[in-house]
Amino acid sequence: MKRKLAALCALSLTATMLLTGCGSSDSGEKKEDSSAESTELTMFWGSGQSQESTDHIKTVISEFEEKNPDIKFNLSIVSDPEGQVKQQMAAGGGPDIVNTDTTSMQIFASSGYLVPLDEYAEQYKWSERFDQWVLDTLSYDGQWYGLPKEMVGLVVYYNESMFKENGWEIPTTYDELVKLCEEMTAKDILPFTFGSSDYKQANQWWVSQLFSAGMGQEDLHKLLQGEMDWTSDEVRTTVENFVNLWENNYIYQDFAAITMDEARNLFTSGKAGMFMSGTWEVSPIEEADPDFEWNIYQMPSWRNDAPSVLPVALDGSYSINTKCENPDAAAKFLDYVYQKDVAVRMHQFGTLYPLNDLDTSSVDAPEKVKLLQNFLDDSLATGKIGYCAWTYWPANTDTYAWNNIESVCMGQISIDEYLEKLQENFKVDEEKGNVLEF
Amino acid sequence: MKKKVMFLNFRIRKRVLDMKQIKKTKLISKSERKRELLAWTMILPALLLNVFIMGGPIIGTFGISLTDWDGIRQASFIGLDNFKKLLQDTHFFWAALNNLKWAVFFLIVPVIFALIIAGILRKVKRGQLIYRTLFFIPYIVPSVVVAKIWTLIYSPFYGITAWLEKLGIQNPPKFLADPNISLFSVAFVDSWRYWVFLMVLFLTAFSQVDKSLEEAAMIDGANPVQTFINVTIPQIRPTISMVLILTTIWSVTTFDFVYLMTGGGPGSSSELVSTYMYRLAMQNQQPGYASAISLVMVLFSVVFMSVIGLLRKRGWEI
Amino acid sequence: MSMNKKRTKKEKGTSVHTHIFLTIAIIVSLFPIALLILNSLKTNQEVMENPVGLPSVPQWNNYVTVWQQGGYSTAFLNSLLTVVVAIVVVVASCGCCAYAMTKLKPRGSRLVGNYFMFTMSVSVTLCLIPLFFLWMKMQLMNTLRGLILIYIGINIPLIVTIMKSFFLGIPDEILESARIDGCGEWKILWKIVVPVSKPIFLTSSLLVGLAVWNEFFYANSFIQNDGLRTVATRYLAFTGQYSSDWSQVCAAGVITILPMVILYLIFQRQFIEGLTAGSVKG
Repeated sequence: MKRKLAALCALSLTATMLLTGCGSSDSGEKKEDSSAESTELTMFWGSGQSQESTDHIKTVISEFEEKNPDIKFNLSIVSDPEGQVKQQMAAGGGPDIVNTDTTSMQIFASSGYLVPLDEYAEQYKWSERFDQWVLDTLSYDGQWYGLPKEMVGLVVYYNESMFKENGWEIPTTYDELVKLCEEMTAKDILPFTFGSSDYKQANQWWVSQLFSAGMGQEDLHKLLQGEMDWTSDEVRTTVENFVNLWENNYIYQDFAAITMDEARNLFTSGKAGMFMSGTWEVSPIEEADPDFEWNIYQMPSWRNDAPSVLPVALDGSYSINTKCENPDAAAKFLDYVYQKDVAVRMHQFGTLYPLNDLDTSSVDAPEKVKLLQNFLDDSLATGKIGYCAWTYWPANTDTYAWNNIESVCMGQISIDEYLEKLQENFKVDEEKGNVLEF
Repeated sequence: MKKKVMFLNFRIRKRVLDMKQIKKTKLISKSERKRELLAWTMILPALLLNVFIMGGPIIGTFGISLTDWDGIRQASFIGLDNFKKLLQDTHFFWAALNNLKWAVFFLIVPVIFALIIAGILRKVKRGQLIYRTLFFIPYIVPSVVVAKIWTLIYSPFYGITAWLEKLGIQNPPKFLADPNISLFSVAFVDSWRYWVFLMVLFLTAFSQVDKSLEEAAMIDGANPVQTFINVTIPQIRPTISMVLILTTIWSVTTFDFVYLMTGGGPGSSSELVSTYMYRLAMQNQQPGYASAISLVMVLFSVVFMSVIGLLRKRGWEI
Repeated sequence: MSMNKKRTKKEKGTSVHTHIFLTIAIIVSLFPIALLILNSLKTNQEVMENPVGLPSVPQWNNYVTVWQQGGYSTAFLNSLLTVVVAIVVVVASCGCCAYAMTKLKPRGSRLVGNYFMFTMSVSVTLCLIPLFFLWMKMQLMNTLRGLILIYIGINIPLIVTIMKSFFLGIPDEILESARIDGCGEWKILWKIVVPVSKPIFLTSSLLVGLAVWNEFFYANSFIQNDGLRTVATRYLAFTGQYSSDWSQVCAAGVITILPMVILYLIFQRQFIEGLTAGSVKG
């Protein structure tokens, strides 16, 4: 009896030791140290980010630590920071500084996981440094919850030399756009290249673009605030216009089957004339072929009665977790990140912070980055902006829209059904309080 | 009076029997119980580990399916609403139809290939083992690598499609891009792996076939193909039926290759119930609804197996 | 995969034809793997221009680059650790369990047997959601021990089943005589059953090893930290980042499959028998 028991104990002890021993190899987030001497802050960072931005944040962190010896920073580099943050927050944990897209930020805010930043905004004068449209997207229920990470816009990259050779002009209406595509097709050139097989969510870009160009700013705003039905005629025409482009192969018909890299190759190798993507595309394009002559234009409005808009988005936000033991330290860090001299360094890599007091003229950024920055600034100044799905649309509607746009093109679901479902999902979003008020 | 006596007798007899029974159980009981306790100690670790990882979660799935949980906020009980939603979900039925197509494909293509190759291979005396070993390699290669290399083969730029275009063939099939054939392109890849598994099973089954029957048929003038079809195959019917049952059950939950190669696309042409469920749970933040779908998948397997069991009991030889 | 469905079974005795046919079938069947190896030795340019042919100059440095950039050394260690622990725990616990169920047969063990049968027919993808959220709550998400625990749990039903059928073949007399001699059950297990069961332990280890090494579904969903990734998911992450360099993707593929292939070639018989026997029971 004794021996039996002993054997059992030994077995279970060994098993436990083995299992706990394995735990030493994981480097998940550590709990904050709430000792009186030092505070520790944790944050996740994506390993997919460019080396430059990663180096930049690390430099910022070490500078901050030097200036604040009582605060230690723990940066975890993981491949899917957003996913991890979501999971951990849902489980009641999560890093001190929460790094996610704005839609998730809204959900977290509504669930009470985030610290309202209004007080800090006063203390650090953040409210003066950001434009109203920025603040709108980062508020929930009248309170402010996040600092914007990066501002992006959706533009059309085009092959400048090809356009010059063929005497093509930048289109200013939908009809001109179609005509341009026709001419390109006649010359065996693919008008719009695109590829989302390795990242389906890229479909969001086209969804954002088509609705912005097709509906125009005013109507899209109404749609997203529930003042217009998704089944209305204007929406129908918009989606039809898009499907029309796809059916004629003006947008690469097999986009669901090629990767974004392959799509970009088609553009830089001259097989495609245009590439609709975000301002982030500047780095990969330059990397693929530094000698490639390209420029950008804003997608013309597809309506004759609405001006062209630039769909903009905030590519994420920094927020403070309510589980953070020292939110003051976290706020201090965030403020440092946005210091003028610090934020401006990111500008060089094409990361554009929407700070209205950022003097980027002194920064030695590559010419193309400056081009994009100016483009963005100009459009923002006119106030004619479109609304990207991942910042402005409520969760369920957004997800349904980009998940099913392929099926609409291929006729697997009818446009009517697509619109009805969008309407349904929007209603659900309204009930759950997902709709952003802006 | 008679009745009373009989009744008394009966009661006495019962008493005696009971006491004997008690004695019996009491005598054996001590060492039996000790042994049983020991046995259960041996069983428990494995059992508990599995219940913790599988048994519990299966019940958990049932629980979650009755809520509207989105993974972040608090869940609230909504009863069978998820299941009602399921019945009206055209996307789900589309995916289920794809599962059906997948199952039909798998019940035919790899099975036939396996039968043919096994039928040929069994005749080979020397080298049978070498062939078997080489054939089986695809089965042990991890699915991620298989998916990647076949994606290359299917690539519109570097693969078969491009090669056919160079040869001048117009409109070559676009395997993963054409919504009409994307599902089957992926099914083909999975069956490329799966048929060797079946082949080995058939080989083993064939080795137990009665050769004399075959020889008799050959003497009667049947050629090898006829013999194979009419004599050999019927003899391994139990194996074949087991294979068909297994294939059907596995086709309900197949996931890996569709997820790795097309993600359910283009559109929803290759969407399976499992990929739909996965997306709902992980990306669309609807684990409650996704759990309802999981349960339906389990239900299907359970019902299917029960039907088979029932038919077998009735004498059907499946 | 054999693309010709013609049944070329000519008269018996023409084994040359049969051999040719089978060889062709093998070449066709294994050509994707061959392609993998061939392309791993080309430059990316060559892969694009000449996907099917032989490499002009073998680019062995592809492997070096992939190994270093891909972080394969860590991935291999992670996988190795996962596999070894999983095997040890599974074989040990299933051995005891199967022995008790076949030889000691306590009341209720049939229920356990039926339970395992049921879980084997239920696919593991169905347990994902609750496990996912449970693991988060228990802080086991993104840890190797969390993943190993899952692997242990899901492999138990199969291993118990195949061990049971093996143990049934052990004659009871030997055990009885040991009992009469005064041996306790644990001693019997250790001194008699284990030495005899080496073949089934080997098969079980190989089965668990293969399943765990190749497993990607749970490894992908439960581990996000690059430093903790197993080989299969490392491959997935690597090819996600470097999707356009096909030569490297193929080289990474070869690295990923090599250990299992080598192990398989050594232990082919056990692999094949174990895999088919296990599923037949299901």
